[in-house]
Amino acid sequence: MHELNNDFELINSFISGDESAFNQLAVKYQEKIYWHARRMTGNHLDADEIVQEVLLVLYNKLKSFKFKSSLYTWIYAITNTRSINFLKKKSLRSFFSLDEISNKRFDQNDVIDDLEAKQKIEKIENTLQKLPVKQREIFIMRNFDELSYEEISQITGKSIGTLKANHFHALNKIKELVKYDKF
Amino acid sequence: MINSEEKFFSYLKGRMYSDERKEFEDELNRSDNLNKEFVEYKRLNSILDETKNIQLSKDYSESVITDFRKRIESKKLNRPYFKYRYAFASILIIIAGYFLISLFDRENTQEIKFLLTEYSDTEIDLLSTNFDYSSNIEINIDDDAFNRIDSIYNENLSESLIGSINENSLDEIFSFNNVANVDEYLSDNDVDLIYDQLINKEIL
Repeated sequence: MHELNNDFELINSFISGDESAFNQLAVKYQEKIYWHARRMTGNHLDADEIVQEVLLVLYNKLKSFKFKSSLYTWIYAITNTRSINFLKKKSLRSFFSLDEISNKRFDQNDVIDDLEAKQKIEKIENTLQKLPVKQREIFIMRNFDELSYEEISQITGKSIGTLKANHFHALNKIKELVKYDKF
Repeated sequence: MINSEEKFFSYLKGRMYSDERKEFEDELNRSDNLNKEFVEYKRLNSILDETKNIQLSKDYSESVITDFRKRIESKKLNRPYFKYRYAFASILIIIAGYFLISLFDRENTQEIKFLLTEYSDTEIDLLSTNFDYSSNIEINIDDDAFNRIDSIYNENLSESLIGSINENSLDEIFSFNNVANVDEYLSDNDVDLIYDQLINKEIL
């Protein structure tokens, strides 16, 4: 079968009923979704749940995608919103003491084979979790995904001034934490 | 510092024209403070870079789409009930409202137990199955439908519900085991509203 390699073709093909086109889109973007969710939540299980939620949203909403932004920006915005909602729900559950909030690592479910890489990731994750969510999301978009403030503004709907201020505070905190934790 | 960060970012990511790079390098040479800040930023950047291109295990990468397809299939199996979701949702709201209101008026909890025994296991299963739709309802309905539901709720239910809740009632509600899944019955908007209220009261 002819390999469809651009988003426009894949989306049109999926809308026409080709389910495998959706699989190709999912494979193309799943790692980006996963890593944003993982950095936001700080663990694999939550990130995996968000990946599934985002794919479900894409599957149901792709037909209404109008190409007003790039597909990547759109997926990123959905992932970010889902991650924040997930964290809010988790916060609510912990407030009502409904779940035992645990930061235990579920190594048997983890997905990084390389031990050294895994340790680095865990150290960074612990540091990121010390930032408030609003600062964390900006920091991740800027410093991991290397997005411009204009792109971040498009994704979050926040003004560039607000984003810069949040990033400024996040950056200072992270610099201090990195010093303190002796990276 | 905010401006410096943008310059550091553009410089390190190769997003400067050659004359901008030259100008920035001159600035670095002229200012010890700027240079110190830049060294710190560059160090942080290299720490983060080390975690950027880590590969996920092949097993996991391959399982993502398989798991997703399984979820889609299980939803399709429930589709016969799907077209009745608005009716189910309305009935559930009415039943929940009836229970809540009657609950606040009753002193004898035996009566509540009696009401619960009126439902068969199958009916309870059916109710709980259809609660699942509420957690994903925003995926499947358009904005107009949302607005209609919101307006029905605001005009008809919210005042009577809020009016009927007092402190004792809340204690009673939270004493039930099923509150453990309270967030599953809330829409994302509800969660936002509750979360904002909790933040405003500095509870969280």
